[in-house]
Amino acid sequence: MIWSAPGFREITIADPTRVHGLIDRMPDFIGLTVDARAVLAGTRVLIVGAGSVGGRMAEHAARCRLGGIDLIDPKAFSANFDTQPIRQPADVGRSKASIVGRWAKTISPGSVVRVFEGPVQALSWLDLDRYDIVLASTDNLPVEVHLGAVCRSLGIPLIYAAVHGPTLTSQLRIFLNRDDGGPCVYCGFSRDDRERMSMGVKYSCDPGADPHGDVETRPTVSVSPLCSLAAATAVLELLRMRLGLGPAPRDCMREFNAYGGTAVTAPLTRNGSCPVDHTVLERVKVQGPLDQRTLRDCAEAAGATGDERIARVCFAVDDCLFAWVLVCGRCGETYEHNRFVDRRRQPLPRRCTTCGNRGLAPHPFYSYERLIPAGKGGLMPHLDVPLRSLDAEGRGVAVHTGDRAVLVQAQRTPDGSTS
Amino acid sequence: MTLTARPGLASLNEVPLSSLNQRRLEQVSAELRGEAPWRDRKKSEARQLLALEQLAGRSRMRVTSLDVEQDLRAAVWLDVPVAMTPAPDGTLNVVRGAVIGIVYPQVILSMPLPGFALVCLVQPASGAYYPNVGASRGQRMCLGASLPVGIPVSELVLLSYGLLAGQTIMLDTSDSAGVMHVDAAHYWSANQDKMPLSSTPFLAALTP
Repeated sequence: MIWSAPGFREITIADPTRVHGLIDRMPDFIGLTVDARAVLAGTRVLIVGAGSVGGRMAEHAARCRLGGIDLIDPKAFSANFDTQPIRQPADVGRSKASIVGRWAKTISPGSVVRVFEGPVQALSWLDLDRYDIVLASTDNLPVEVHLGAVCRSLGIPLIYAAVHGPTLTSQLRIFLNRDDGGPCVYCGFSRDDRERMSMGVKYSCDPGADPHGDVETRPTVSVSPLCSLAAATAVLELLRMRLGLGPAPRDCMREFNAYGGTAVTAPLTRNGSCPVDHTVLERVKVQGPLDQRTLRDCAEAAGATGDERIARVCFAVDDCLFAWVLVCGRCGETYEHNRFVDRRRQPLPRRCTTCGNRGLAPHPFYSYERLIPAGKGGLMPHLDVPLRSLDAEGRGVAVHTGDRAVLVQAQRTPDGSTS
Repeated sequence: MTLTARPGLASLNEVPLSSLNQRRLEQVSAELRGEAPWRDRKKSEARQLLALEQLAGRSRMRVTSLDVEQDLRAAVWLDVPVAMTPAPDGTLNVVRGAVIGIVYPQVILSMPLPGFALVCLVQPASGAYYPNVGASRGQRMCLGASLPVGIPVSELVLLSYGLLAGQTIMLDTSDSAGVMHVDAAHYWSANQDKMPLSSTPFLAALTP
């Protein structure tokens, strides 16, 4: 089986609620300096997890009339009416993302609501580049780390909401991802968390199977109001950030304990020995479609000029790996390639001239998975070749010069095109 | 009586590098990229790999290429028998010597990865006949259901040696983790008397 490139599905409803005539209960927030309705209508949020907490975050996001609400959850509702936002018995066994997405669209027909019924790791890192903020609620530690790393590199604020049922505690972890000096999700992991994550993932030995593994997750053991509380406070933080209400946001953890009715805010700081990459990419826009630009253009946009300098630059192009050798899946014959390969579209439909097999794959040792050192990865001869001719789509090129880490993208016109 | 501590796998960091390997480490370290914790880790892993080469002896293992600029990438030659596709009459072909390719990315320091994610068999380039070595996609070597966070590079070498020598083998095609080469799994199930290909420990020179 080939893991095919996934995509979101937009939710449409046959009989949308009439927006006209709805009662508007948006308050005049104290200290508000922006048009709240316009800002929220222009806000695009990704909600990862559509269960006990995430499902309610989506509902609140819809009631706040956010312009874009995307939901991700690979699972279906179980018969857990205690905490999950199930609206009717028929929802049991059906996709959480779709059920919650449909409800969000019903509440806010003006919002663009899209759902993806798969793991978030199946999306390209650039798929997440469209969001103003990401809200997540999942008890899957590898997802937390992956999502944290992607949001961090793209500089997207990330709010994790969680509950601890036995102590009636709800918790938010807020990562602003503004610069390299901030904390990442992994910075705060305890040794137990790290061991649990290491032991809790099982992968199939078949490289063609779902590459994201089978994660042993534990079901939410909590009570409905606690899940609601975590969801509500997460969306309140979103409102505060987007509308500029109250003190400037910061990297922090907010906890509310219902036993004593106490709330605590503690700063989150970077762990100096954290092994995760903390780089936040600067943005640089170039004119015209990026796939017509060259790697030299991208390096120069990031401030690296001259072959000697560029030889020390590392590139990450779209969601591609760079294969300088392809290998036949049947007979093992190898072929020089020196092109980018979309990691979600393998093997390539190229025929092996030795055995006739149709399906060549990048050689695991003779390819670069992510950052490609220009001087070593065989890129130097291709510096002046348009990305399109190297089989890259040109959605974004990350350039690491040593001094700067820059994401080069095409400048978009108001109509969304790049030309 | 005085006990002398013998160098071993648990103390690779304490093995003094030869002047040749020390120079080699300094040479590759000059190209280190990434944030400080990742740079330090790559340097430490590279040092341990070179120390393992010394400990094992160059007749057992040779680090034929080493690059720590982004991912840690190493090609390692091992003196080990390698099972190749059997002849039509079922006779097993065995060749001596393998080159494994290791690509050790930063993400392994924070996430477990699939057992086949980090090591592949580069030489022989095709035809290796093991249940845990994929016949396709560059002969990826499956070293377990998953590779734990931060697994040392030197351990990958030892696991690879165990796999190729037939000292660790996965034959159960019905296991959820599966096998990567079903024909080979069936062959080895029917020919368990041929295992292991070598029972010599990796550090045979140090074994009393």
